[in-house]
Amino acid sequence: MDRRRVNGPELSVAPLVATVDAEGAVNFVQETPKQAFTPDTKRQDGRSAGDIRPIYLRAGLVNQASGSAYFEQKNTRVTCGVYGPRQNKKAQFNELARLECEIKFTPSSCEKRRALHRDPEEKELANFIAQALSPAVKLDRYPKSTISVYISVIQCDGWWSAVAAAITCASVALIDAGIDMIDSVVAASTLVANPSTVLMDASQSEEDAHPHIDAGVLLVAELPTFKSITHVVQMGKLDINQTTKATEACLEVCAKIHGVVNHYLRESVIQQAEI
Amino acid sequence: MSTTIVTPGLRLGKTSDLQAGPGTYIRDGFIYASTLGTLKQFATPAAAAAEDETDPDPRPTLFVAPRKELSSVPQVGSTVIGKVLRINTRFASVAIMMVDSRPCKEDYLGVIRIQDVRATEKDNVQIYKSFRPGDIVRAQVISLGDARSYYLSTAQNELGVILAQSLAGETLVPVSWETMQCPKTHAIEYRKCAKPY
Amino acid sequence: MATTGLISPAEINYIREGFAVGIRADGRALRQYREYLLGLDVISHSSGSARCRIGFGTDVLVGVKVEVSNIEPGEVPNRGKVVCNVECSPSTTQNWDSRAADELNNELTQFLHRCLNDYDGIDLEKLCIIPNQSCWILYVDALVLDFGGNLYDTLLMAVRAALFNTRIPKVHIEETGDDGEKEFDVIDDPEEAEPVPGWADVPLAVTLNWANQTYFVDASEMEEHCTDAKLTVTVNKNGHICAIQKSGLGAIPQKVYPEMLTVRIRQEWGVPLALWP
Repeated sequence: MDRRRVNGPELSVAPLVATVDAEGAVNFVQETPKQAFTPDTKRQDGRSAGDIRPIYLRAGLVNQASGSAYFEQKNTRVTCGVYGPRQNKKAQFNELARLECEIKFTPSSCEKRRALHRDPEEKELANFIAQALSPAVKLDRYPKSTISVYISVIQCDGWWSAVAAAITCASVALIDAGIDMIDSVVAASTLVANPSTVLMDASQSEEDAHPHIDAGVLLVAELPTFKSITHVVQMGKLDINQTTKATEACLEVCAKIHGVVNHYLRESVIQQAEI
Repeated sequence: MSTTIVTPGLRLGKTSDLQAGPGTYIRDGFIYASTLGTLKQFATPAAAAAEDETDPDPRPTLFVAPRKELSSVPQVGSTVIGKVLRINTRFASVAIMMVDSRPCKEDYLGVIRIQDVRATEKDNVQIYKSFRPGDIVRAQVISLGDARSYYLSTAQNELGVILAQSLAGETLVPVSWETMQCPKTHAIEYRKCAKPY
Repeated sequence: MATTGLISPAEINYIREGFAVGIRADGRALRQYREYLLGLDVISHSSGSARCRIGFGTDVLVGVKVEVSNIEPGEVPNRGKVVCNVECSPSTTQNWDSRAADELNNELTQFLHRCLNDYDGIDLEKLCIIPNQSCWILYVDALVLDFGGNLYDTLLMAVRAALFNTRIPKVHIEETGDDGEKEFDVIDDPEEAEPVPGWADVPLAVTLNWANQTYFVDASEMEEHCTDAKLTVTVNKNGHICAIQKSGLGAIPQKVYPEMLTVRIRQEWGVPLALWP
């Protein structure tokens, strides 16, 4: 027995979570109940299968950055800062501007604490986001420059919907910076729960209730005006019909998000004119 | 028309009716906005029409006044103002701070090579007698240069040192295109000066 | 992808114009794969291995090691684990030392992880030995020996072949009596070793490259420099789509996207396997 140290208990358990049931009584359970989705039940937060959570967007919050944006969708909060176009730190000549992305989930953003340094998942996501944004930016107008996009996910309620939010947020920040773009980039994600149910914008509890053994997740980013897909990632096993249906659902939602994004961008111009 | 706010990707008109100005781009015969701002239009100025012997373009130009001034990027042919960081026998290193009278959020690096200091007698140029570290110079971008720096040139009358400090600490006054004088000690120092107007 | 090669604009133009009329530099059709070689059991110390080479270009070596691991509290109690790692050997291209290679390694590792975990491929539940205590862990390590375009497809082909080649030793579980605690013994007899459950459900990848308004498969290194975007679709033997990933800095028009998902590779253009000794 180690007498020099005060050791903690050998066995540790997760803390009890308080839940309120239908009658209003408070129960303490080991884990938050995860409700699997069936076509005849509503989703846990009352949405229907095709609804996304309402979006709040604000451009121009960070003064130091060339452009910035804050994106909030219920419990998912993402902020993005864009610096540039500025000179390349690395000595490599490039005819087109370099789009450099970095994304970090803050340690308390997800249910399980994340590490302080960027882990391989985040590095891969940064790659995805750079690929999703590049077709939209007029890179040929800024030779020999780097445009740096730094995304921070402050709170994450659903991994893939947070990634979709990050892409949309980054594109708003790029527009706010005044960088020449062909179009904005909007992204949507969906969870294909059972054979035919397509759940848009899944929250964390919905993702946990449907592990990928019997479900699939799809993320689509597109240029809404030109109807081009700039990024797509799918995980889990789906057949071709499910994939097509999920893709169509995502693209429909993207068109709606595009309207919301334009509305908030216009508001930012009006607000600035009033100052 | 002057209060229409546009977002990138918004279709503005046809190239058959309008010309594309700054803040817009052309694709498949249509003009789209490329930046967030207010839509403005101006007709082709009469002066340009008078100069042009051939049929002047009657289409008005559409442009987007950006909401925020983008940090400027040096282009070939733009006039820049910068501070000389260090010199050696072959070139002077300059930190570009303003491009076409718009400040840069972050400095760019440029070099003025010995052959680009002045237009005549290029063989006899001495960098030590043209620039000193700390001088503010006005130069023109002649090329995108290599990976690290833009290539600049001061080979025109209006280009060169616009502000310099003498060894005594006073602001030097330009005397000729190649000399400046300290108002306190009256000592002559050599610089490649810009015409002061 | 993170390759930086030197290719002249004239060459790019030549290759891209060729796509528009269906001509490729090596005479293949747009949807034709290069000849590929697949060899099994190439590493003697591994539990399973394979090497796949497409054309004279891409060469991937995969080794699978099977070990016993403890199930930590907090992990799923009744499943085995699969840990992937892909490394691009720096000896292949000078561009692949340090940072550029790190990015590429990470990209391929994450992609492989997505293809092998978390869905109905390898039956992870059968890899559990004693629930909450011990399980089999499969270390899948891939080494890219040569690069000639089309890394994703070759990688997944080699991984699937290596998993086919892998043998997991049989275990003999017995209860030690008190509290239903169990102990197990690994039987060393190679004859009794079993194949990986569900290896046949591991998908294969088809990468479609989009350039100049057409798409084609199996790009060579030069062709990869000319593509706008790549769409990698992994399909299992039942026709289910297991993963989709787009890479590259271009965009794919919505109209063409569904078509690209359903493209089929004609059987006669797939070249039969040739096994290495």
